[in-house]
Amino acid sequence: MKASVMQVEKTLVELDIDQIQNVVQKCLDEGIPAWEIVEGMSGGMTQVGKQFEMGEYYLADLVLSGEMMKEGMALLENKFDMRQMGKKGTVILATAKGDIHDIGKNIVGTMLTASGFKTIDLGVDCHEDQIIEAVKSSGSNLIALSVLLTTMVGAIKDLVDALAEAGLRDKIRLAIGGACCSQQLADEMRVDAYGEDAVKAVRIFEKLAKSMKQGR
Amino acid sequence: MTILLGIDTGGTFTDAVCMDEQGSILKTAKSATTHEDLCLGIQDAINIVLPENVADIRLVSLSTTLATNAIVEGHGSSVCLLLFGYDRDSLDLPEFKKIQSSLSVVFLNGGHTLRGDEQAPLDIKQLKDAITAHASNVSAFGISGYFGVRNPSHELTAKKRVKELTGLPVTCGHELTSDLNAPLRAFTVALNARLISLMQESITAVRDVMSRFNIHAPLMIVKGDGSLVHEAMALERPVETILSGPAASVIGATYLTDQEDAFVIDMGGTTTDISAVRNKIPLLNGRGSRVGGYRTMVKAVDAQTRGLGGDSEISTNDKNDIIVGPGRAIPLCSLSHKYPEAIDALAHQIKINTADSTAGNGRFFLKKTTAAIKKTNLTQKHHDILTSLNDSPVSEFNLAQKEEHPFLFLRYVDDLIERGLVIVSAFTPTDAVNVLGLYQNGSSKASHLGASLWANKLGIRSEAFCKQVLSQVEFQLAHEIIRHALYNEGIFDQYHKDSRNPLLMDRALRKEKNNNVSITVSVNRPLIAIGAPVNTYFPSVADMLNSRLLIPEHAAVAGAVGAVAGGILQTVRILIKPLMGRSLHRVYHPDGIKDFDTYPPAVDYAERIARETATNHAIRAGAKAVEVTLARHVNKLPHDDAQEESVIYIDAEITATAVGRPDIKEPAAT
Repeated sequence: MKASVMQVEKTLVELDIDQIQNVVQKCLDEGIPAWEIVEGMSGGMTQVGKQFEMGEYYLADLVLSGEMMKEGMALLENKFDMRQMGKKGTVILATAKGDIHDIGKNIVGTMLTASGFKTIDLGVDCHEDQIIEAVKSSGSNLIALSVLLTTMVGAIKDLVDALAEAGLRDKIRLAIGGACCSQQLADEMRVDAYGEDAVKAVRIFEKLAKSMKQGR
Repeated sequence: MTILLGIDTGGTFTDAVCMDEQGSILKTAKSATTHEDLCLGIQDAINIVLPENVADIRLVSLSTTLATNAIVEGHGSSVCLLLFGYDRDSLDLPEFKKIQSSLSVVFLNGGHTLRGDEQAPLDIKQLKDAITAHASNVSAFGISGYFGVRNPSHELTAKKRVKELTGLPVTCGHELTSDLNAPLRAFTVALNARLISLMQESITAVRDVMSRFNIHAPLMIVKGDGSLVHEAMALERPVETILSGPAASVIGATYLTDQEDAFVIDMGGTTTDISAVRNKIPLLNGRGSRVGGYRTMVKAVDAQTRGLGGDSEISTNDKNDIIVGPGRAIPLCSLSHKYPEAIDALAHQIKINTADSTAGNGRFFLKKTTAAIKKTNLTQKHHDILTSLNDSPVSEFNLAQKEEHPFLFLRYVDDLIERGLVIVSAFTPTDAVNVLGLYQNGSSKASHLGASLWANKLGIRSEAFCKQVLSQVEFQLAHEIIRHALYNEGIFDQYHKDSRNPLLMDRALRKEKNNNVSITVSVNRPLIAIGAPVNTYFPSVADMLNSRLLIPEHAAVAGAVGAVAGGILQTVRILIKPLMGRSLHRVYHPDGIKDFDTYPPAVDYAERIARETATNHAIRAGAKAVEVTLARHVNKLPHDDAQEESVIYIDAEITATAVGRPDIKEPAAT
C-alpha cells in the first residue's frame, strides 16, 4: 500500500476528522486511483470496527468513522471511471428492517461502485416490500442485505420468503453481511452468499452476477 | 380371499392386474384404451382378470395418465381464477399464456402479508359479483390469495361463497401446496380447476364399469408421488395425479425387478416417462414438477414426460428430417379398423398426390364426444367445424380443400384439438411397426397407404421410411434418457447451454463411424424399460447408451402393479414464527393463524394440529391403521444477552407424515 493511502487509513483509525479530506486530496494529487483510496478508508473502518468490538472504542467513535468515510467519499465521487459504472450489474443495498446501522452497508456500496457496479441504496430499516418494489422497478437482480443485530436476523428470512411469494426468488441473487451474519446463517436462510467484509463484497457480487448470466 | 385390482389407463393401453394380499400377481390383462370412451378399454381389461368370485375384489386402484396427457396436450375446460391481493403483472408467466384462452382471471381485494395479517380486507360484494359473473361459462373455480399459505382465511371464505352460489367444484391454493410463490400457486390452482371435469369423466367411467361387473369396492387413484388417494379426494385435487402413470410405473418397476438404483423408462402410446430410483425410492421433485413445459407446485416423482410413444404423430421439419411427437394421434391402422372408409380416403389422396405433391398428408379429424367439457368462448367458425365433423373421420385434405383460407382454417382446428374437442388420426410409429411386419395391429392396409403417402413426399421407399421412423423413435428415446441422467446430476443446464454438446451427443448416439472422430457414451445405471412397445425399441436404445437393460416379466403391466403396490401417504407442514418486535409466537395452521405468548405451547399446538390434520387427510385419502410421524425443524440462533443466555427463534417447521394401507372395506354409507 502506498504511503499516502496508509496515511488515509491511519487518519481514520485515529478518528482525525479534520484531516480526512486533506489526506484524501493528497492521494488524488499524487494520481492514486480512487478505488485504492477507498480501500485505504475501508481498511481504517474495519480497524475501527474491531476496536469497537473489543470495547476500546465507543459507539460514537464508530459513527464518527462513518462520517469520515462520507467526507472522504465526497472528494472521490467524480473520480471513478464512469464508463465502468454499472457495467457489472446493479446491486440493491439495504439494511434489514428493524436495524438502523448503515456504516457497513455504505462501505459495501462504495466498494461496489468503485469496482464498476451501479448501486441503488434503499437506506436503513428497509421493509421487505420496499426491497421487492425496488427489484421490480429497477430490474436489478442482485441484492445486498446488511444485518448487524442478532435480534433482526428474522428479517433475512422474511426477505427470502417475500421474494419467493412474489415469484422472484429464482430470478435474483441475495448476499448478506454484517456483524451477526455467517456462512452458516446464509445456508440456513437459503441466501446465495455471505460476505465477511466490504472488500469481499465485490468478489461475491462479481460471482453472483456471473452465475445470473449463466442461469446458475 | 382378498384381491386387489390395479388398473392403469389413459395411455394407448389399459392394463389390469389382480394381486393377492401377499403381493403375488394372480392375473394380468392388457387391452386397447378407447379414448372416445375410456369405459370400453377398462371393461375389456377387467373382464380378462375378473376372479371367479367378484366379491373377493376388495380394492380397485387406478393409475391414470389422464391429467398428465391433458396438460401435455394443452387440454382442459374453461375455468375462473379468483386472486386476492395479487399484482396484475405477477401473472406474467409463460405458463399462463398457454392456457389463457380458456381462463378467466379476476383480481380481487384481499390477500395477506408475510406475517399472515390482512393485506387488505375482503370485499364480499366484489367477490360475489365476480362469482356470479363467471358461474355460467366455467366448469370450475380456482382460488389463490397472496400469502394464502400463511393465512388461508380469504381463500376459505371465497370457497364457501363459490359453493353456495354455484355448486361448482372449487380448489384453493393452500390446499395444493404450503410453499411460497404466489404466481406459480395461482397457475397450479388454475391447472387443477381445468382438470376437474376430465377427472370426473374418468372416475364416472370407472365406476360405471365397476358396477357393470358388480364390483363393490373402494376406488383409489395413484398420486404423482406414487401414493394412493380415495376417488373423492382425487376429484378435488386432480392436479396431484399428474405423473400418476409414471409414479405407479416406478413403484411397479421397482417392485418387479428388485433394483436399488436404476432409470425407469415407461413407454406408453402417447408419452414416455423417464425417472430415477435411488435406494428403491422414486426421486421426487422438491421444487415442484414440470409437465409438458409447464411448471407446477405439485411434488411428484421427478419424471420427465415427453410426447413420444407408439401413437405419436409423425411430421417433418423444414429440412425434411422426421420428427416423432409430441402430439398424439390415433394410428391409421386403428382408425381404419373402426372406420374402414378411411382406407378409401387414403387411397384417394395417394392418387391426387401424383399430380400435386403437397395435397394429402394422411391426417384425419374426429369429433370427441365429451359432454363434460363446456364449449365456451367458441366462435361461429369453431362451431361450423364441429358440425362438419360427424360420427366418422374427415380428412384434413377434404376439410381444408373447401376453405378459402386453408392455413387460417387449420389454426381453428388446432385450437379445437388443444381444447380436446377434436382428435387427430395420422401416421404413427405404430403404423411403421405394422408396415415392417414387426407387430400386427388393426388394419395394416391403412398403415401401408399412410407410409406410401409419406414416402412419396420424401422421395424414398415405404419400407425405408418406416425404418427411419423407428430409428428416430429410438434416437429420441436415447437422447431423452441422456438428458434425464444429466439433469439428475444437476448438469443438464450446462450441457444444454452449449449447442456443441447435443451435436456431439447426436454423433455418439447415432454411432456414426464415417467421421474422423467417434464418441461413445454410456449410462452407468441399468435401464428398466416397461410399457407395451419396449421390446420393439429398447434393445437398440440400450445399445446406443451402452447400458444394461431390464425388462421385467410383467413389464407391460408395471403401472397396474404399482397401482396396488403403493400405500397412502399424506404430509402436513405447519410453520411457527416469532413476530418481530412483539413477544408472540404465531402458528400458521391449515385454517388460519393462532398466537402464543411463549414458544413451547406454540409447538405443542402446532404438533397436535399437524398430527390431527395429517391423520384426517390420510383417512379421507382412504387409509386405515394410520401411523403418523412428526418431524420438527427449528431455525434458531444463540443470543448472548448481557443478562442471560437466550435463544432467538427464526422459525420452526412441524411436518406430520401419515401413512397407511388402503382401507379395503367399503364404507357403510355408500
